[in-house]
Amino acid sequence: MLSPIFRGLRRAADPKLLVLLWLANTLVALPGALAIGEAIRNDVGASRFHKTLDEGFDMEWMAEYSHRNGTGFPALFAPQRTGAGAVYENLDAWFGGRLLSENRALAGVLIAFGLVWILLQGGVVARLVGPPRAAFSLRGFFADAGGYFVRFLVLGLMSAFVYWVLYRLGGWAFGLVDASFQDAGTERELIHRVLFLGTAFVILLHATRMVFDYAKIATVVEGTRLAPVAVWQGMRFVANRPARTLSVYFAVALMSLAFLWLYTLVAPGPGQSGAASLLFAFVLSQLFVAGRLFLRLALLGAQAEVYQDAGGL
Amino acid sequence: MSDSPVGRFLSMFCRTLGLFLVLPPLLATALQGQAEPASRSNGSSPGLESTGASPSGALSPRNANYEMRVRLDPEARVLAGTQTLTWRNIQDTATSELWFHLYWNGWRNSHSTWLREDRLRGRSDRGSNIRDSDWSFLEVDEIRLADGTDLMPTRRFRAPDDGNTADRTVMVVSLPKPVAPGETVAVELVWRAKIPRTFARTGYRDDFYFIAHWYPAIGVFEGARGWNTHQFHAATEFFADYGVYDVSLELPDELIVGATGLLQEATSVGDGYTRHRFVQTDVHNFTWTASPDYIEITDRFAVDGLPEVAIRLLMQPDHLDQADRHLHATKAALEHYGRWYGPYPYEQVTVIDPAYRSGAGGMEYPTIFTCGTRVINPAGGGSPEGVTIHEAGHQFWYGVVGNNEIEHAWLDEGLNTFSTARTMDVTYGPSKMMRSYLRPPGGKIGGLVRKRYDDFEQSRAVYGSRFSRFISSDGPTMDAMSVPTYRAFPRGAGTLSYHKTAMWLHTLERHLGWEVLQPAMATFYQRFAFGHPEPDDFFGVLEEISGRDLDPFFDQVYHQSKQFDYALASVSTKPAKLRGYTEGPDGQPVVAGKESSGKEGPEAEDEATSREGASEDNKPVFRTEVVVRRLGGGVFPVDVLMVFDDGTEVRRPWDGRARWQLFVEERAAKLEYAVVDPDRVLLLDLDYTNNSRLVKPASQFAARKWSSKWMVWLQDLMTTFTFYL
Repeated sequence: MLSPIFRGLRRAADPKLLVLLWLANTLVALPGALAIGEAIRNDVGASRFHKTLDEGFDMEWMAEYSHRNGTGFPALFAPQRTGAGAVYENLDAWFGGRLLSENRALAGVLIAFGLVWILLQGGVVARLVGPPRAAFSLRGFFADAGGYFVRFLVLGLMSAFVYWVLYRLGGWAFGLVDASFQDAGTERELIHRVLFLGTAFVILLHATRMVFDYAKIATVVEGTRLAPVAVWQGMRFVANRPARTLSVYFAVALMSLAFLWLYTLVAPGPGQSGAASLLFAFVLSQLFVAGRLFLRLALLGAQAEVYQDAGGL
Repeated sequence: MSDSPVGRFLSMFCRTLGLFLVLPPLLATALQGQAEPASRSNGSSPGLESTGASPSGALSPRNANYEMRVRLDPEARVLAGTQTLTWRNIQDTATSELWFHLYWNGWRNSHSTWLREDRLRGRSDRGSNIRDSDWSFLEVDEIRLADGTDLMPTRRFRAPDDGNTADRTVMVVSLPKPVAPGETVAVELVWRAKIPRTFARTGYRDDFYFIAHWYPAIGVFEGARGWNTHQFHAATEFFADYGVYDVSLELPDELIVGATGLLQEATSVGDGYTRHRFVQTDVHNFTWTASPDYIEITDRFAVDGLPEVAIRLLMQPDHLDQADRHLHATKAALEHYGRWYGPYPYEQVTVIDPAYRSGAGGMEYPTIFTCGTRVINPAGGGSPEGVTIHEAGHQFWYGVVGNNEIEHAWLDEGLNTFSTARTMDVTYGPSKMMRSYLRPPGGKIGGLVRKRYDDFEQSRAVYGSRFSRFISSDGPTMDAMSVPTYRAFPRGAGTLSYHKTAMWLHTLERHLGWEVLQPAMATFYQRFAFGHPEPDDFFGVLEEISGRDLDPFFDQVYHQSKQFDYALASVSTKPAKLRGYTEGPDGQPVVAGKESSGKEGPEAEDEATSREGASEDNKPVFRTEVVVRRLGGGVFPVDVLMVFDDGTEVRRPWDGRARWQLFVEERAAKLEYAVVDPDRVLLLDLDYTNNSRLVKPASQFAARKWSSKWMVWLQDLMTTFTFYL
């Protein structure tokens, strides 16, 4: 089990690929960050609140900021979305299926990045299943990316539809749990039931992810042209090798969780009051972003190894 | 004393009497040396405008006394009750009617005033999800005088507030002969009440019961003004006279019971039922709760200078690890409110941790109150300590000072919100920001795990007085606070009663000083203990104790809904160099800087420097101009602080009346920044960001810092989103 994971990690440790993904992520996020920066700059203006915000945070100012910026993109700024809070907030939003529902502008950014990601994935998967230590060229990468874009886009739309169905079903199931506690039961019992159902739900989400990952790998390795066929191939591959595919997925997922947990321990708080400490905090947090992208690559890489070890379908 | 019921009652009576004897000196202590600590005459409530004499030794007039026997049918969710009401007319006018509240008819059907207002306030206790078994009623089957005279033929329902004929929350009966001033009438009632699935913290969930507003309760007769018996409204609660409650509850054996007052006896009556008899004097309501799951914990509040109080805590098993937090918060309230305003006058307080999803949390009743917590609830975030202190605090502001909550809810809710924030602050310090997580899809189940963010502290001003809710609600632009609470727009009533009052009391504390406000509130507490004060009583006491004319302030915050917003409109600091013509040595106009005094050399240079704006030690002089504006309609005296680059600070008072004011300083230093209301006395200022202004704006670093931190969230979110693709 460990061999494909190590090989996947080695394949993911491709600085150029990683920088490319990080750049794409950062460039899409940057306009949003600039908009938030501008909103904060305008809101603080020439006031003395800059001092408390420079040194730490100011919840009094935040109360006023929220009141003045209750809608649109500026409304997305909140202190709990900085530092370790970003991890908790996003995990919670992911679990609850609320990533696209909070704010239209944010949904637009996510969909834009989704399209960029779909484009890049063609190049990424092609590289991960290609010969190891092959030279990286942007032209080659984007040629692959462009070549697989339509097929990966259809796969992305299919997976989005499956997730939509899963979240609807999940909402219905959790709604039933909620209803069963209207007239009886304790909160502890509810927590247990939510954890139980939540675990099953998360496993379903990840199983779906795994099938679509192998569908992409099959698309590249087998040259499958039709997305439904690729999904079928992904399902068949997972079904035929459940132990191997699940164990690899589970191991990388555990690594990702450990990584998230580690970041929550070292995530920079609000204390930076100078340019140097702020730069250090920024670099640290960008390493976290890069680390998350690396783990995403590592998972795909390990799965590609499993697929190729098995000799494909 | 014997252990018999009578003996225990006598024991309790004597202890109450003893408390009465120690109350005045303790209240005087709370006044901290006020020149004329108000005194309580023998058992009467000095603030009550009544002619009725109180029974000897009583803390209150005790003119509305109840003896009840009630039996619960848990299958049918019905209470069957008999009660004897002994009512004494303590006004100087006779009355030939008796008015009763039948609050549970507020949930009789969707046409009741309570349900209509509940929909209007935008949040409903139950929404449209009300099943047939969830509704309630309170049916009076018999009502007769002690001599047997049947009053049922005279019974009718009234809707004095809105004329809603479908509302049956006020019942009136006519008496065969008027009750003269000082005269007593005894009425016997037989009634049935269907217990609702919780509305307004009242009802059942499974085998948990929280039973409030539940019996036919006499209104308040106000003499020439008639009966003050409002309908049951969604945003208002209590108003009743004080009395003695002797209540026997017949409940299934397995239920553990908490109630207003002290348990006198618990005896088996057969059929699997136990009769629990509770008695409490000098209260204006009676509430009880029962559940087989309660775990009872007892403790005592004992600090120097205040009477001991027995604490009975009924906890849910899920929250047993938080029992100490509930006890600590209860004691903090008893101690601080006791020292600031006056002692808690009863022997016991019962603290209830209600059942999950019972909807009964966070509510006050005489000598008993409910809190509310979650299984995963780290300390430091203000809960359950905040709600515990708030509801314990209501024992003072509502329990002892019995204002008309239906008309002036702010008199207890506002004073108590302010006092809660203060108690939280001195006991626990600033609270930390909390967020709830583990919110499954569908949105039905809320966050089950609370996470504390230690980096983000919330000050008493913001969190305790609920500043954020105040500015973000409709409150500031809604009704004036002088509008009776039951008439206020339901969506804004809470903001006015809780937040706005706390904000202006907080402002008064900063303006007058706690050393003035505290004895003023203590005087109000003492003077109107066991009485029904009106808003003017509170304003009068504040003016009396502070020795200040506070009418202009109350006029703006209470009689009108003025908004306050002072702003630093502009700042400039430039060399004080004179340009244009000035007077030359010969008295003729000459261009400034070109005139000559006939002196030469360094002497001439010094003079020129001086003319062009320099101090005596030859440093250039700068003219600083600060323009302050009053953007809101409200007027409040504020200071304007100017801070210069040599470290000097100049503070200039301003009465705040004009729409704008120019402040000028000429000194050998440049202005760095100016602040209007630098100590943030005026907490009601809706926009404090515009209260300060730097000559050189410096928000760039903060913007970069916080946007770069926020960007990580967006980057991580985008990475998370790719999970789906």
